[in-house]
Amino acid sequence: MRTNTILVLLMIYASVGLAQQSNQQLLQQVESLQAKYESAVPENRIDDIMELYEQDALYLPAQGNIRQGKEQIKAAWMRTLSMNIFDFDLQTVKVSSSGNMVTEVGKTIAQVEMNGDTIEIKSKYLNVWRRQDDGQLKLHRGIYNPLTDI
Amino acid sequence: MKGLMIILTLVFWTTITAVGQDKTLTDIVSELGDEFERHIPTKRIEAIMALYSEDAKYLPDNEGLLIGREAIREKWERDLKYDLQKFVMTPVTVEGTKRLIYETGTGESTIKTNGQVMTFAFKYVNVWRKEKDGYKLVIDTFNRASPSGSGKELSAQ
Repeated sequence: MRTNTILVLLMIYASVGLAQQSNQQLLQQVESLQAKYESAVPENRIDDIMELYEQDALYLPAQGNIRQGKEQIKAAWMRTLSMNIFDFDLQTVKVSSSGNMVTEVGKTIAQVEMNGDTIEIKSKYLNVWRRQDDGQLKLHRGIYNPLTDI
Repeated sequence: MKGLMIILTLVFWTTITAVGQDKTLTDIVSELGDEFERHIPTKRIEAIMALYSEDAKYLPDNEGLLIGREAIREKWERDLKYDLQKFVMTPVTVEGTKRLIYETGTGESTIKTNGQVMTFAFKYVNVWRKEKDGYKLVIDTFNRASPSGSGKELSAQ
């Protein structure tokens, strides 16, 4: 009886440990994708940004209609990149997963040059990543809007 | 014969119950949307808050990132001071599992202010989680669907 109790406790401890390790791995994976965004946006590397998206992703930028598919999303990003963003920083607030979907909530701060001045544009976002057959995460849904405090 | 009738009746009611319980994700989300559409114009704050999980995150347009029911409630109390005449949500995509549902959609809210009626189009992504007392929003976020902006956002127009 005592042996069984110890075994059960060990199994629970191992499960919690595995879950924490899994959460840590998930966070690292998402942060790695964030790093790609953060480096690609200021350098206007549109192809690297688009590589983050699924073929039939939906993108809901701060204004206008829902963009569906890479072609429409690329057009939206081209307009965003025309704003002369020289720094782009993402801060994850929460990451969680369920099945093949990973949900990420966070904040962004973009430094934009406009008429010789630097302005700071703050946003908050929800990304829904979907795990692909090869284990990679691709953006399935993305929505952002202005953040008035940070 | 009587036994057969009882068995047939039991089979009939079991089937009806099973069909009624076998809702699609779209059905579930439509019903939840209907609740929002009912409660917002009638300012039923408790009913609105009952749709959020305790740890919900609400990302309303042009506001902070609100975490937890208390912060979300404060935001809704402010918004319900407006004369919201109509609120409509239309799902565009619904996917996930019975445990966690991802909804993308468009909507319109109609407000009467200074004698004028104005309609605002928006688009949204909701994440619903099944909890003990029903489906709750764990993430609620929206932004405007109109082209004009304040100039203080990353533009995609």
